[in-house]
Amino acid sequence: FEARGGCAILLNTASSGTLRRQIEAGPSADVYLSANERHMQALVEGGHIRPDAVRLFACNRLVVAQPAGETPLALDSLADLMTESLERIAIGSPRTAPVGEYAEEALRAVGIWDALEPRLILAENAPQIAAYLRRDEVDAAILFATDVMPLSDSARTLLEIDPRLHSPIRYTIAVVSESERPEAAANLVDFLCSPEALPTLRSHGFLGPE
Amino acid sequence: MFAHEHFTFPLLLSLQVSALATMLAGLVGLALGYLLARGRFVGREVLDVLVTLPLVLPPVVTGYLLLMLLGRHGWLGGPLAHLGIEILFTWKAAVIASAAAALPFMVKTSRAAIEQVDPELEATAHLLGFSRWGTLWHVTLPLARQGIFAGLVLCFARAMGEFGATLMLAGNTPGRTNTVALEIYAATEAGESRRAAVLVVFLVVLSFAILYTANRLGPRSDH
Repeated sequence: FEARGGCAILLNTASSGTLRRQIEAGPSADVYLSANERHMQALVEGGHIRPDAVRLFACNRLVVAQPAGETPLALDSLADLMTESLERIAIGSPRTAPVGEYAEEALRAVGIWDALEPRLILAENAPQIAAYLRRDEVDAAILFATDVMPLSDSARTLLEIDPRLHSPIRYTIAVVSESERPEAAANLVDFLCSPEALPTLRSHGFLGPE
Repeated sequence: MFAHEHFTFPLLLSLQVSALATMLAGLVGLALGYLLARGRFVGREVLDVLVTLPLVLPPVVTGYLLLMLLGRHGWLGGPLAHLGIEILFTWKAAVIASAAAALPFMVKTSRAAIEQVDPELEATAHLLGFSRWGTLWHVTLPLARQGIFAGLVLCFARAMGEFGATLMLAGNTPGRTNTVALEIYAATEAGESRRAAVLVVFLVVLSFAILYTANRLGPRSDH
C-alpha cells in the first residue's frame, strides 16, 4: 500500500481487546483490525465504528501441531488427541485469548474437553504457544494455521481442525468513526479488502474473505 | 465470583509461592550479597551486574531465559527431567520465577548492608578466635540485619506482584498455577472487572497487612 503511493502507515500492534480499549478511551487510530468479531461488535455498539463500515478481511484455520523433534503422530480427527502419549497440550487461555476460545469450542464439540483438561497448558497468546512448540516443551498444541507457518523447522502440522467445530475465525477491519483522516483510512481498508491483497494474505497462511 | 479456583486458590497460592520465593531468593541473595561485599575476585562487578539483570529485562524475557534453562532440553531442566522432576507448568515454576525476579533486590540490599559493617569488627572477631562462619553468624549478619530484613521484605513484595515470568514458566492454569497477579490479569482481559477489582482489593489489603507487620516487628534502629 505504501509503495503504491498510499499514505504512510503507522502500525500499533497489540491484542484485539487491548486495542479496542484504547479506541474506547479516545481517538487513537484511524483503522481497526480485529482478530475477534466480539471486539469489533463492542466498538460498533459503543458508537466508535459505524455498522456499515465493518468489512470482512480474512479468515484463518485452527490446526493441531507438534514439535518437529517428536515422532510424527497420526491424527485422523480431533478426538484422537486423547491418545496417551500426549501429556502436555498447549492451547490459548480461553478466558483471554481468541485462539484459546476457538480451541475450547472445538474440543467441547468433539466431547473431549473435560477429559483433556488436566493435560492442557494454557498460554496467553499464540507467540507463547509457538515458543513452547519451538522448545519442545509440549507434546502438541492447538493454534492458528498462520502461527505454525513461521515455525516451519521447529513444528509440524498434524491436523487441520474441521471448521464446523468452532465459530468461524474471521478478521474484520473498519474505519474508526473518530478518525481525522477518513479518506485515507477508507483507501487503506478498500485496498486490504481488494483482490490485490489476497496473494500476500494467502502466502502467510490466511484465507481470503470467503 | 468467589469460586474457590478463581478466588481463594489464587490468594493462597500467591502467599505460598511468595513465601517460598522469599526464602529461596533470601538465601541465595544473601550468599551472593556477602560474596560481592567481602569477596575479592576477578569479575566481581560483572557478577553484580548479571544478578541485577532480571530488574532490567522485561519480565517475559526473564521468563523465556528461565524457560530455556528449566525446560525439557534446558541445562537444568534436562537433568531434572531424567530424575522425574517436572518444574514447568507447576507451582514450583511460579516459585522460581518469583525468586528470580526478587533476587536482585536481595543481593543489592544485602551487599550494601554487609559493606556497611566495619571490617575492623570482623577482624577483631578473628583475633578473638572466631572462625569464618562464627564471625559471619555472630558479628556480620547481626550488624547487617536491618538491610537484610529490608531485602527480605522487598523480595516478598516483588514476589507477590510477579507476573510476566510466571506466565511464561508456569502458565495460567486455574486451580494449579493461577496466582493473584495472573488471575487479576485474566479477569480484566475477560471483562470481569468487578471480580478483578475485588481481587485487587484483597491483594492490597493482604500485602499491606503482611508488609506493615513485618516493618513493625523487624529490626529497627530505635529498638
